[in-house]
Amino acid sequence: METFFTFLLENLREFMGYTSFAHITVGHVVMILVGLGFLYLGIARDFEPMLLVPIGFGILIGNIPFDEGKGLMIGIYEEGSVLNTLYAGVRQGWYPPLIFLGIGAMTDFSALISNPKLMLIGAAAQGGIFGAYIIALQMGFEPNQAGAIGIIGGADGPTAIFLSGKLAPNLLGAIAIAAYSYMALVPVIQPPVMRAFTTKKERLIRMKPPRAVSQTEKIIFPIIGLLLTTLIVPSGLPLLGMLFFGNILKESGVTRRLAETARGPLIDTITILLGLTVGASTQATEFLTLNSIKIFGLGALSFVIATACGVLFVKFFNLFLKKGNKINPLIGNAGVSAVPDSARISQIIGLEYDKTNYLLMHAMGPNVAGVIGSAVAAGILLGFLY
Amino acid sequence: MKVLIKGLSLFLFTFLSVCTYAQVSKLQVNEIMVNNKTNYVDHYGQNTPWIEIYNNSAASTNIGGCYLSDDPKNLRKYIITKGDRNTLMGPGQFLIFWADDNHTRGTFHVNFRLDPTRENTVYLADASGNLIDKLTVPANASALEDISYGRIEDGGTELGILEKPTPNINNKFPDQDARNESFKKNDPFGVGMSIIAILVVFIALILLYICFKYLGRFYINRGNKKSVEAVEAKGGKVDESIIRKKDRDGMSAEVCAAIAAALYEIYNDVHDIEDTILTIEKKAVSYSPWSSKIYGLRQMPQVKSKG
Repeated sequence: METFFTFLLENLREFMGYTSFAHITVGHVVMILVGLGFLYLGIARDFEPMLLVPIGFGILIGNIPFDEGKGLMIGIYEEGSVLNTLYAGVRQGWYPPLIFLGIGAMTDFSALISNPKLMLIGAAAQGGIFGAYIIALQMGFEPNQAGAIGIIGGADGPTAIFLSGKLAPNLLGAIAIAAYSYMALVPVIQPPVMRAFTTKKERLIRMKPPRAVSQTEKIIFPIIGLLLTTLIVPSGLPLLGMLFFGNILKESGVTRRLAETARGPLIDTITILLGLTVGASTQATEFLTLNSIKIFGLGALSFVIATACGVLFVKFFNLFLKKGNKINPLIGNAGVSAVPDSARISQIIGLEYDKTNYLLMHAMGPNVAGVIGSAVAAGILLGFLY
Repeated sequence: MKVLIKGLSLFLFTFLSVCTYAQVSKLQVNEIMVNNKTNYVDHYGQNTPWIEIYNNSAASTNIGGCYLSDDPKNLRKYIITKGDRNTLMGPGQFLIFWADDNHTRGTFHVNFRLDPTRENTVYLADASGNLIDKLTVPANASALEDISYGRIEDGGTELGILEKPTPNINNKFPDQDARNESFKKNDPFGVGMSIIAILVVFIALILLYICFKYLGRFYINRGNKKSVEAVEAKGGKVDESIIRKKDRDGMSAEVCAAIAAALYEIYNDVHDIEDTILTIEKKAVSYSPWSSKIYGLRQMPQVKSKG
């Protein structure tokens, strides 16, 4: 009988060694709290729930500790585990282009085509990327790491994941979390910057209504867009190629089913997998470092710089535009590629000052130009630093 | 004619596909050691001349079925065994062949021997016997003991004596951190790179801007021309300056509504002469087709009230 109890106790002790309680550390607890925070922001506060809920839950999944020495093949960093297989899309960078395919299939470039000068705002707002790059270098990051961190300023999650996966895979988790977190916080970060850099008179500028765009122009746009941008920056091909491919599926009018799949089930599936695995990649042992904190700080700064660059560029641009053709600088913030959130901010802030001044469609121009601009910027960084 | 165009398109597509494939499969003779005294040893423990083949492409390629030769008149001298799984070369991978004239020892032992007393040329031909690449080792380099000859950089065009032979590995070791070090040294503040990069972003988007500015003008002019032609076809006269002004200044909602109503009446034969008055009133509420888009978007984050 005594042998039996000893046997049971030994097995119980062994089982206890298997449980997470035996391996939990302060870091895991902190990360679980971060995950719960993300879930709270997403569910209770409605902050970008499509991003924060999968990422938040992923953080919980990734921070359930276990004995890695047992070879259970359950951790995201264990070769061959289920999570590791799903994470391959992030690691090898094929989730982001698929997301771009969906974005292309759901984006209407009409606002941009009707007023193509708005494209330049999308270029100016990329200043956030390079501002953060310069600061990151001064903080002691290697050039390739600084480039990967800087891309957070593009406000484009898939691009940030794609680039950091190539330039600084060890920082991918922190960069992805920072990029998506700040995209969710666009309504908090951008308005004060927009107000700080504009006068009341500027905020009241009314813009000319955009002209109607023909279907032929809409079909030509992705073709010319692809050729012009990728011939200059071929390293941006995975992102830009898929973006414009998705768009031609939408605009051609003959591939409706493909476009619907790309902007519906496909992008939803990839968003689920991307969000979950990015969240799960934040294992406390890998994630809780001083570098992660620095990356979060730099990420916030890059958003501020990008917003300021966009707004200030519009003010500068207005110096050369005739009266009646002026651009409301409140759409400058939309040069970052957080579509359509930053355009929505332009609309909301614009309405605060003039209840009849609708800036949304005008802001969509620089907003989609920002998507192109950040993909081009990522291509340049890849070309320079990879 | 249509059949001809289709045929030509298909031919062009096939031709381009083949060209693309041909570019992908790029095999090169990368390095050769003729006088191997104490250097690389084969599986039989012997020092024999060796030939290094390099896959200078981003795609895997199977070298099985290709030919190696030292005779320009007979490029099909040694066929590399088909079906040997070891002949599959990954991107940037190397394969060593032993030029020991002892092909019974396996796929990687060829049926000719390189001679240290003279110039040696190794030819690599594809499965059809077409020359893919060749490398000539001058007589002086052939004679050097335990010294190889080949491309200074893998796949490069510059040839030379390699004092330190590198069978099965890179001829010139890429410095993994060279780029970072170069940036740290030459652009420590990152300003140079940032300026160039932002300029490139601007150039790309300015090109798009210019393109669509003129494309837009073209379509506006074409639309105007069509409108004028349509009116003139019905015997009417159009003042083109009005159309140009319309495009420049936009049209008021009232004018649009009146035109739409008139067109509706014409096309539906509602009445020849209207006996009612169309009154267009501006809506007092702040609504426009643009503002309606806001309802399609997710609302601003709000604190949910309890209960």
